[in-house]
Formats: sequence, C-alpha cells, structure tokens
Amino acid sequence: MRLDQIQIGRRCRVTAINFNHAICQRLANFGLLPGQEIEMAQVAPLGDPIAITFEGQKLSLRRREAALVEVEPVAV
Amino acid sequence: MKHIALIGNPNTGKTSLFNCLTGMRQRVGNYPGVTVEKKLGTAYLADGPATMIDLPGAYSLSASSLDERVAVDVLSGHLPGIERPDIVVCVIDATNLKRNLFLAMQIAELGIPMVIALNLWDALEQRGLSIDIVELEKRLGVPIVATVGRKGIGISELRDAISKAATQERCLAPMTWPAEVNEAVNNIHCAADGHTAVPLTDMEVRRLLFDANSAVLDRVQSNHEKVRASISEGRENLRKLGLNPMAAEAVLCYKHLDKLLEGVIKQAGDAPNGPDGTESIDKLMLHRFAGLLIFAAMMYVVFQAVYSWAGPLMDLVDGLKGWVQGIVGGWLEPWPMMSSLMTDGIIEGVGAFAIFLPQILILFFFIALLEDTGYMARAAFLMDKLFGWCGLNGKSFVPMLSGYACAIPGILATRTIEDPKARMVTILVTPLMSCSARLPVYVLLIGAFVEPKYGPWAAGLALFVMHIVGLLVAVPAAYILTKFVIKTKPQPFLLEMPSYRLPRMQDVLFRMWMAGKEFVIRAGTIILAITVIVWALLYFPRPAGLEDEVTKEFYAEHIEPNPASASLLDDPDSELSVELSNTIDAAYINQSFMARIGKAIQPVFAPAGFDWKITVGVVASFPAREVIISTLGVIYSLGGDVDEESPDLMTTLSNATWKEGPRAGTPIFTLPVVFAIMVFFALCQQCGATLAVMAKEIGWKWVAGSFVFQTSIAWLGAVLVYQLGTAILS
Repeated sequence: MRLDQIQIGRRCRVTAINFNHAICQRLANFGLLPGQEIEMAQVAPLGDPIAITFEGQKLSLRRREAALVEVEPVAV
Repeated sequence: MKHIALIGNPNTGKTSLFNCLTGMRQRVGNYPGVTVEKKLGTAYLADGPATMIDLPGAYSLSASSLDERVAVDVLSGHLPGIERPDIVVCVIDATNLKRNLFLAMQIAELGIPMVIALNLWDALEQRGLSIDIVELEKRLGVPIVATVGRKGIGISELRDAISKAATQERCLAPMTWPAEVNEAVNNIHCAADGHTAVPLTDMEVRRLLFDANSAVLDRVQSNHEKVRASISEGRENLRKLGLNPMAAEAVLCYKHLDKLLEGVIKQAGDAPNGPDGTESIDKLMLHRFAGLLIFAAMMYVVFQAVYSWAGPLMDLVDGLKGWVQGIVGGWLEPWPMMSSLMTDGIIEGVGAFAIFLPQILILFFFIALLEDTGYMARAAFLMDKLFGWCGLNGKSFVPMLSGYACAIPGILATRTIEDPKARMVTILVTPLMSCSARLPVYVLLIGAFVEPKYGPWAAGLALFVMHIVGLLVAVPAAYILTKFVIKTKPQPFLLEMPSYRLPRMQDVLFRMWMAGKEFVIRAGTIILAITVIVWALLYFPRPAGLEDEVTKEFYAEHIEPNPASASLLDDPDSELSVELSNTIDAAYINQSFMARIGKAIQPVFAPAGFDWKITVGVVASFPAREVIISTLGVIYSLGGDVDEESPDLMTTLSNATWKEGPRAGTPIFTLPVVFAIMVFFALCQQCGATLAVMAKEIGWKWVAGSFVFQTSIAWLGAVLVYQLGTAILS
C-alpha cells in the first residue's frame, strides 16, 4: 500500500521509501524513515494535499509525493 | 565584539527569543546577492555587547533551499562580510526534541561552541511531559536552558549561559560515523584537495556525500570528475552496508538520537498527557465545509481591514500632506518654481510613500497573527490545490488578496512563501490584481459613460468585470512563468503544521513596525525620486511669454465681449479668475515635456482609440496610476483638484470630440474607448512604488521584464477591446 491510499484516521507503518526523489531525503530529515508509524490526520477539502502526524509533529505533503512512501496498515 | 548566531527549525519561537535577547536594536537587510532576509541585533550580555545574527529557520543543513544554504555559509564563515560565529545558540522546540536535535547534530560537525535553548517549555508541560535537563546536558555536553520566549521566561538564564559559553568552549559532541563514511570522506578530501578556494571542512564533504545535488559542489573549481567519482564510490560503499546513501545520514543520526534520548523525556505529575488541543482545532479548521468557511471569513476580515479600515488613516496622511503643502506653499509663494518643487515634487513624493503605510502596517499585523498562531500553514494547506497547479503556492493567497487593496503590502507579504520559485511567481502576478488606486479610474469612466446610459446594474457588472480582468491574465501568466521562464527548481510542497499557539503581542507589533520601517527605508527614496522626476517633466519647460499670451487670449475671448466682467478678475476666488488660472495651468502642461512625450507616442495608442490627451494622461500615470484623474482635470482646464465623482469632469469628458482627422466632430469617449482605457489601467504596471518594492525583492532585471510584459499586455488588451468593441457596435 502507498501512503496516499490510507484513509483519514488510520495508522500505518512505513516499509519503504523511494529515495531517488529529493523530497524523500527531506522527509527522512523529519524522521520519516522505514519503521516509523504514522497516522493520516486530514485531507484538504479539495482532495490534496494530505496531513500526517508522527512523533508529535504534523506534516502536510501532496499526494504525488506521498505515493513515494510504501506503508502497511497497523491495527489500532 | 563576539558574534553569536541563532539557529533553529522554523516554528520554534526563534524570532521571539531573538526579540527578547536583542530588544528593539535590530537591523534588517538581505544577504549579498540573495533574497534571504538577514537580521542582526545587539545582545547585551554580562561581559558586554555582542552581535547576534538570526539565521533563517532551517530543518537541516542539506542546503537544498536558499535559506539553508545561507545558514550553512554563515556558520562555516564563507559569506563575505559576515564573520564566522563564536557561539551558536540552537533553539529547540521542547515538544519535538528528536527532530530538532537532528539539525543540532549537523551543526555539531562545525565545532562551534553551542548553547541549547529548549523553547516552548510551557507547551511541553501542558502535554504533561518533562525533560531531564541535567541528564541531557551530561549526554550532549553543552549548556541547556529551558525557555518560554513568548513569556520572557528563561531569558536571563540564557544570557548567562551564552556569556559563559565563550570561555567554556563546550561543543556538542558530533556523532561517530561508521568507518565506511569516514573512509569516503577522506577519499573525497583527497580528490578535491587544492581545487577549492578554501579547503573544504569535513562537514562540507559529508554534505557532498549525503546530498543528491549539494550546493557545496559549486565550491570545487576544477577536477569535478575526480570528485564526482570519489563521491559515487563512497555511496557505493554505503549501499554495501545496506544504507541508501540519500537516507544514510538520517538513518544513522536518528539511530544515534534514539539511544541518546533514552529515558530523558519523562512524565511530569498527573497533568493530562496528550494532545494540546491542536488536533481538535484542526478537525474544525481543516473541515471540508467549516474549514473553508472559516478561511473565507478570516480572509474577508483581513481584506476589509486593508481595504476599508486603512481608509481613514490614508485620508489622514493625505490631509496632513495637503496641510503641509499649504503652509510650505505659502512660505515659498514669492518663488513659484521652488514652491512647486517643494509642494508638488518633494512633499508630494513623501506623501506618495507615506500613504501606503497604513495598509502595510495593518496587513502585517494580520500576517504576524496568522503566522504566529500557526494558522498560515493551515491556510496554505487549504488553498494548495487551487494554486499549486499553475506554479503558485497555498501561501500565495494572502499576498494576492492584499494585492486587491494594494500590491505593495502584497509583495512584501510574499516573504512568507518559503519556495523561492513560487515566491517569485507570486511577486510577478500580484501587481495584476486590481488595486484600490485603479478604482477611481473605473468609478469615473463607469459613472460617466456606463451608468447614465445602461443603469446601475450594468455599472456594477462593469466594475466587477474590471476586477476580474487582472486575475484572468495572472493565472495563465503564472503557469507560463513557472513552466518556461523561471528556471529555479521548485521546492516540493512539504509543510510543517505547527501546534496552535497564542502569539506574543510584542512580536506581532514589532513585526508590523519593522515592515513599515523597512518599506520607508528601502522604497521611500526611490518613490520620492520618481515623484520629483515626474514633477519636473510636467513643470518644465516654462517659456517666459506663455502666461501673457494665454491671458491675452483669455481677455479677447471673455472680457472684451463683456468689459464689465473685468472687475471679477480682481477677486482671486471668482469663477472667472479660477477659469483663467486653470487655462494657464492647462497651457503650461500642454507644452510640458510630459505632454510632448504623450503627443509623440499618441500614434502608438491610436489603435486603442486614445487621443493625445488620454495618451498624456496615461503616460503621466506611469509613476502612479491614481494621478490620471487630476492630470485629466488639468489637461481639460478644470484644475488639478477634481476627483473621480466630479460632475464637471464627467460632463467635459462626455462632450470631448475629435477636433480633426476622419472622426472630427464625433465623441472621443465612445464605449469601446472607455473600456479600452479601463482595461489598460487594469493590466498596466503603472506604479513606481510597486516597481521600487519589487526591485528590492527580486532585482531590477525582473522588474524590467515585468514592466515590459504588463505594458504590452495592457496595450494589447486595450487595442483588442477597442477594435472588437468598435466592430461590434458599428
């Protein structure tokens, strides 16, 4: 599954990130690395971008870039 | 004097701390050659004053953005004119310790003594958490002070820690890298040795290794291939370790930090351990319907404030200007040229930039509020989809909206946009928004030509259409600029949404004050100069015999048929005297340099249906579009103090006819001409003050481009409207 496919309020765990894109290095600097658990917090009214929370911080990114992050769902 | 650098992630309350440490003693400018704001201040420490530099907020030193690159260059002492700091104060969000320490660990590599300010300590306590500062100090090896910048808590302790740090020289212990990284660093050093102006530091070499397109590579003057090869080889070895080179630094550093921070963050008492309300506020603020409604309501308030609330203040500035002009004009009456230079040139010029201050101050009050509460990031989130596709940014909304009141505060407000490319595009399209200075032109022409003939409903529609025209050009222009013109790489949209916070009023007011001060210092002189030049073009030449000649003609026309009226001229306020002086003013302006320019280029505007008088009005309005009304007043011998609702001016314009040529006897102001003029004003870059502000933000080269573009598109629009309109109506 990809991060952009997660529904609002669901949690997931990062399994892989496509580091060939520059934005993923920035995500990694925020601590978004394989193994990290994240929650899908919001989707903007127009469907894009999305907001995720992890480690007490909230980040917003576009779906196109969220698609570079592979995740697996985590049971609540 | 000691040099202290303040650095930290965005949204850590760094500016608040900087204000606390330096008070009002701040200087703002740009770093040489880039549009990154440089903020310097003086901090008074126990052992005397020290220079403090507030570096742009950065999440890392990867130098992928201009802000981060400046931060790296200052910290490495590579920026000419700025000394390498003796002490670095790292501001850390206590509620987000690990991520903030990631930046601190990168700074550690530079070997500069460090003091850590654990800011937003109150927010940490509110979450029912605490940090064991004694233990953390022991593990990191640098002094740590808990602060609440917003409330001024911990500031004196921070000052003490900074004073002591200079003598103690305690640096944050850098992390230990695996042997593969160290080996790669050595190899790159060897390859680059002797090929850089200044030998690269280990930290810079590590940036070469870890970052995809590091700005550090620019420092290598030759031998690129060998350096590149050594970088690739180093990365290959990282892959063998099972590390993706692009993520290696983050993976290793976060692993290091996880171990370092074990057991440091503690539960404090029985305070509620949980969210600080941000999540529940966001449920409302980012809601599909409610969120958009709240956004619209907030933007409405901001716009009303800039558009309407500034009105009385602007009237006050205008009244004050008129009052000073009256007094100075009285003193200088014996010297007409000096009087005119002082009143119509210099005082007018000072008034010309002072008039923008109310709007700038009010807008920046709201921007500071929106940013300091954390809402600005939400606004960007809500609007990103709407703006993103054409290269703008969610944060372009506020600047463009304020552009509808005045482009100047709007352009200054683009500083809130981090992505330099989106910022540039926003600056370039904001002047296309229909600002309040265009309104008088619309009111005059619609009031004179649309409303009497087609009724108030059509007048309202026409006014609305005129406000949309600029936007219709701005959107495709933004798209083209992004796709084909501006070559800067766009920053991916990755935005932190900070927790909601109460802003500190001093910070909000101080930001407002600095915005106003900076505008006066940076743009004020240019606006003044432009006004004086325009004054000279309208005032000169002053041929000696002109006044006598006009007076003689006036007598022949008005007094000779009715000699009794001659006594009326003794009273300077009589209708006849005013008419005479207006006729003299019109005669002077009609042979001024400005009018000569207007007449010479009238053929250019002929396809838009403009006669020479309109052309002179248009040309004279390039420095400030609102002068068209008074210029038309002077040209049509009604005097300069007519306004857009003056019935005299409306009647005069309606009665104006072509004196010669194929259209002799027909009215000049036909409906197509009226709309051609309005479209020209809607699209043209007729504001010297905006040009001056843009130049300070993006340089004269872009300003020239923008000027040429807007003038051509305005001309094209006017010609199109006139030609199509005439074809349809005939």
